[in-house]
Amino acid sequence: MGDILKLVGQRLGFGLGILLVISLIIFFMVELLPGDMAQAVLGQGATEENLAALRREMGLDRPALVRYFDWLGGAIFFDFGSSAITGERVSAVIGQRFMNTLFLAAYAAVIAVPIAITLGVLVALLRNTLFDRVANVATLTSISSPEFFLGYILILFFAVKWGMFPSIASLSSGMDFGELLYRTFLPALTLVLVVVAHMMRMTRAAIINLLASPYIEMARLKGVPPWRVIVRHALPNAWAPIINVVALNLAYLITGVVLVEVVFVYPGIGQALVDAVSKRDFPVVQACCLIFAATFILLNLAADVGSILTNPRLRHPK
Amino acid sequence: MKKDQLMLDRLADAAREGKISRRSFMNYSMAAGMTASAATGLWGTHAKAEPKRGGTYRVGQHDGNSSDTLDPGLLQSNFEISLVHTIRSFLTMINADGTLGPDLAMEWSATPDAKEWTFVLNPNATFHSGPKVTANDVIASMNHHRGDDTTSAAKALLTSVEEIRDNGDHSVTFVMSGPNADLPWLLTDYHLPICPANEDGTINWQSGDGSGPYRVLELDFGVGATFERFEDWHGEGAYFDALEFQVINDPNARQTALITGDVDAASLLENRTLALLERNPDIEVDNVASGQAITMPMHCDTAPFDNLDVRMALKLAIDREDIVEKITYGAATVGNDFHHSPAMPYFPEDIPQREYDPEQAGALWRKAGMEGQTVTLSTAESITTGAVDAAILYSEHAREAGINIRVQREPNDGYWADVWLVKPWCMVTWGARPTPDVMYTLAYKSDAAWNESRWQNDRFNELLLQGKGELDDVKRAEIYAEMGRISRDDGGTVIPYFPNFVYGRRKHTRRGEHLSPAWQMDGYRHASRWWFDT
Amino acid sequence: MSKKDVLLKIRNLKIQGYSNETWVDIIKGVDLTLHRGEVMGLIGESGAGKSTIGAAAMGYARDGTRITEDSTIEFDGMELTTATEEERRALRGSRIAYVAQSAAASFNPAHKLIDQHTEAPLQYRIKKRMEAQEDAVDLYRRLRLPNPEEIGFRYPHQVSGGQLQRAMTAMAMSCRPDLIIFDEPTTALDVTTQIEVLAAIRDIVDQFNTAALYITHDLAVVAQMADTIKVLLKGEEVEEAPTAQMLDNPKEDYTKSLWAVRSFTSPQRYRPTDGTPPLISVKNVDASYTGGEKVLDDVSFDIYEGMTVAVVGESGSGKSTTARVITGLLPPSKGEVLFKGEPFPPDYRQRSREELRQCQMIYQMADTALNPKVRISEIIGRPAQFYSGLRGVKLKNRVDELLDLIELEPSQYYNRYPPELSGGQKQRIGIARALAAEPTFIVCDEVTSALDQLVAEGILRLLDRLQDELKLAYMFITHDLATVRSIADEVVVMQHGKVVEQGPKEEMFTPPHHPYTDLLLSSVPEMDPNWLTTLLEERGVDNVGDAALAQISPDDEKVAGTKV
Repeated sequence: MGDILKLVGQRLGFGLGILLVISLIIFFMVELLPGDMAQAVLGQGATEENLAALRREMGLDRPALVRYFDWLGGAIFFDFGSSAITGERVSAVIGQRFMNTLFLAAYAAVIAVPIAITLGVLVALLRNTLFDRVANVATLTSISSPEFFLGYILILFFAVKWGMFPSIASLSSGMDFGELLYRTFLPALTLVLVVVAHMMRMTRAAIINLLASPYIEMARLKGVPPWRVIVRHALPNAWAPIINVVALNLAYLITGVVLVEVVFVYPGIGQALVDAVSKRDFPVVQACCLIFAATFILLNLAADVGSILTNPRLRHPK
Repeated sequence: MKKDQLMLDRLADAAREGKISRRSFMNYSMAAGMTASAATGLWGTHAKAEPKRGGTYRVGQHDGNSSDTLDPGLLQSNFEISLVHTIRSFLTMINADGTLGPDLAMEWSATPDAKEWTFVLNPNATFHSGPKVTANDVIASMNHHRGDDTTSAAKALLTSVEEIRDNGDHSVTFVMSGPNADLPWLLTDYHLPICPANEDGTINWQSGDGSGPYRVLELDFGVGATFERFEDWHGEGAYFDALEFQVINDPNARQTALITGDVDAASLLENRTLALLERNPDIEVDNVASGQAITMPMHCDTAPFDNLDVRMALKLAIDREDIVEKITYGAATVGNDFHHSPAMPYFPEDIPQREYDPEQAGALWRKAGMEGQTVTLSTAESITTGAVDAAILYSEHAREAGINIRVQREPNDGYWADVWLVKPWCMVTWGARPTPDVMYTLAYKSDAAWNESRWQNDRFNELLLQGKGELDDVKRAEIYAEMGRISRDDGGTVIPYFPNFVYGRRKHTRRGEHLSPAWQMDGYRHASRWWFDT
Repeated sequence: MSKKDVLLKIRNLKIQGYSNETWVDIIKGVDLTLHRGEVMGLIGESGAGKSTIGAAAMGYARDGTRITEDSTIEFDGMELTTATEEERRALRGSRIAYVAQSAAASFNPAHKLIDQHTEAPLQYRIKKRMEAQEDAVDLYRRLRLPNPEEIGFRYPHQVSGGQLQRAMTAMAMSCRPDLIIFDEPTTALDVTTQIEVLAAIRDIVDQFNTAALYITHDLAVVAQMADTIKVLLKGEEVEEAPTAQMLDNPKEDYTKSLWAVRSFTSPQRYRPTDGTPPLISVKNVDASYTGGEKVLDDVSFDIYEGMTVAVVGESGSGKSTTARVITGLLPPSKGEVLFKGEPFPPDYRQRSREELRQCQMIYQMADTALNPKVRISEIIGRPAQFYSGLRGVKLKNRVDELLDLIELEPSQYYNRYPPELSGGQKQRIGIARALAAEPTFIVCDEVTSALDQLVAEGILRLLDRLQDELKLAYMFITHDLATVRSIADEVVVMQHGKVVEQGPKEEMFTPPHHPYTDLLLSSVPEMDPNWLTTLLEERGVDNVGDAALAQISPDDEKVAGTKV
């Protein structure tokens, strides 16, 4: 266990370094965009006078580096400052949004992961059969369709034609859990379709990869039935790549679903980020990007630890 | 008989929806073979019923951002504008029929020189939090946009206001530096709601308190808001018990929500899907002429646009009808090169429509010695849907006249800083302004900061000044007609069209006979003017 | 149950493999008859098709191969080629069992040994779980595994190779099959461990009167195990005879050539007596991999110019680590390496080009040591260019010369790629690459282990000839004592990172030995079919392999005297 803790520590340290670099990159990318925050707030109606006044109020008249380090100093203590546009605390602006995103990601993952792995095992077992080919075509189709397109298709059938689910995933505070699941079903389903394919194919590949192993041949020569060869002998050794692809997809579910949020009007963090970028609301952009980067790093870390924990050599040392 | 019955059914529908007047209804009914008394009876049963109270009204609203604010000086997005008309009151309002009506001010009057305006406040007007709306609140609210330090975008509207006086009798007087006959119209601007004053003379906009028809319950910018009716509202209407505004920025999602009934109404429908939506029996589309405009200002002080022949050639080289049809799918009103929409007061009906005339355009172009030369029109996709396509279509029209227009596509970001007022000819979108005076003062007056065509015309400026002080409506109409003619024939702005406001309702959501041209959604007073027909 | 009953009858077995989009014959019509309780050795070099026949005996064709329709495989009266897959599968594990070459790879790393052991009996409902586990423990005991009660509850990686191989034999026995296919079960093991496994396998096969097909390339091993021997070459039978007859009197030339492999011996060379310093001198070297335990402990030995020092020892004894220290890949934590009496920089990055060229390496796996995408001319030409600065025609001439040296026709091989060559040819290219630098010293790391014996012999002869011609010194790392006998001048025996004994070859192969050397030497199987029996009688069944190692007394005078 000591080794694992050390590894976690190393990765965390490395991750923090990456976060720092990312924060720098984001900051100066935002700086490079034409027009500044004040211009974005006042829009077409800006005059030089009130632009200058607003810039002063927002502190934009100070050099970029000074503003960056100011902000970084706060961020170290989880204080992301206040939104440059509304003056609200950044945590208040994006906190609930992030929880919403996490909820949707969890909802989709809870459906997608078991389906993907079960299907992956099935197609590995029935590889090169019609079922395998149909599953391949279906997953390739869903993987190569843009998610907003999948979303519209689902809306067309489930909301417009059959009226089974609402087309917009509006949330309100008094909603009970069942209602919440019902209202967010279509976006979750869209995400499921997008990620299942990837995870399923990786599960299939990981298992088929192992089928050439001597211990698989040994199992076959012991008279073990094909399904058991896959489930009992191949799958337990295939977890490491599967966990990695699951982690990658979870990260995607959290950071990459702006389009789904837009299509289903789901108040997630992706929309908040897009808003913030278009308004040059730098503190919010920074915080969102840091959250995204941290999500990626944490999930990768979790995948590493998961891979280690499923490796019997490391779980049961000599 | 069958055909007649069908006709009568359609008439009944039209009557129910308020699409047809009583007189027309009677005429058509009798033409379909009905007796006058029967027709009168039918009108009675079908014609639009009195508004009913009740229900929770759900709206899909476009253009809402998580960076939206309640600060009146910084309002910009459609969600903010819809919100401010729902929770707050103004001194005056533009009625559904486009006329000016009372809001917090019951009545107003000016001194003959139109330099001092006095507004008498409605004694019943109350903030949601309890206190009455006072002259003090009005003054604080106006001062929010005045002074050197204000960040308000409405600062320019009130620069001519020298002083606002509390008359002590529940009335206020605006003292102006010059005559301004339009002040009551200006006060309908969405930046100018009345908020409760703090003791230090600032206003408390942060709380969301106001004296509007609905009280906000939950508000999450970029997501939506819920409201309940404010029972002590001083106005008439507010038929819904509760409201749910939902930000739906994606046009497809908004329209789908309307189709599936997830919302009762949706703002800003996409023009290209209008035909489709109009075929849906559950949905009614409102297509309302507006004061918005798409303009193409040429810098009149910059060659070759300093030559009137060049300007006129370019004005004649555009086929406006074609652009309205192909770019807006009919959801627009053709422009006539003066910035005065039919949705604005004092619209001069008698100015002839400028037609597409490639021959004359070509002749003028050659006369100006421009043959073989190219002019560049800057545009960006963010100006309006199809903006770039419109510019390209225009260049095709101009080619017929032998005029070369190069369409320069600019990035969306920074367009207002780097292109507008900078490039000699570009494409611009303008929001609706309440009066021609405001519009002309803002963008056509010779010393206006936003004089986007850098146009100087002494007679025009003189008339503008004269109009500001003219309290007689007939005379004012004459003034604005002449100004229209001058800017149409001498000005530097090509105006292809005035975009219409297009929005949709589920059939059970009813509206009054007219829809305000001031903004989307009945001037964003839909929440207080519309009702459910249960 | 008479020994005369035929258990397995294979006639006209043809197996095809799919390559380059056509089916190619791998096994070209082999007949085989095996009686109950009989052990048949299948012997041949790689590519002879031994394993393929073994699998076919279970009615199993590996992925990408197929058994042709005119073959017949009759197991105990049942025709496997026409049986359904279900019927065939029902035989596997229960009536025909399989013991694979590498137990370490053939046990599933994710499950405990005993769970894998009991999988077949539980599946065939022969035993209940508790019964099956008790039976497993019983088999572990019979196979003389340490801690039989407990060892089954470990994971494969927690058990040593020799023990795993026995556990796999136990697993094969779990359903008391009629036939076991042993597919090179001891090839991956060290010699001392091999004995235990061989003894255990022979006992258990005897005890249960199980028939077996014993597949191996090692003649001495098969001599101990088999009743009859069948020799295979390229998918065809060469000859078959009872063991004693086959050993004494092989009929076919091919068989005779196999028997003659171990004839090559290079003449013994001696250290110079004129006081010239050794070419390489390893002095009191300790080494460890980052943060790990000490892998080398006070290792010292000398290598003189033009001589071959064989470093022998079992896996993990520190042979390869020593080579890494000499080549500078692993700087020692203590001690030093001298080159002609001068200190050699410990890290190769600090060595000059001239110093680097002196010391080259040839690797075990020629396959992985050569870049498959690079032409032979470039593989050999690059070091020639790097060290000698040759270009153009001179470079080409040098490459031709090197190809001549390794007995490959330059015009034929100059532009070819490694995958087009056989294993022996690849190893020759490896040698030429080492020679290109014009070294004085070459480390040969198990260079013949992966090769068939005839090919290996050729490589040894080549190395010997080159040594004489070019005055090369070799450090010859091997675990195979036969190789040591044929090529070494001096021998260094290593165990647990220490040098336990060293000296000239002739001394090393004559008693008295250090007990470990003794054990090592006596554990090498001989061509005598009674060798194992005799050895076990001499030493006692419980005094082989790990047990024997444990009994080496530290007080033995030879042990005490190894500190040179």
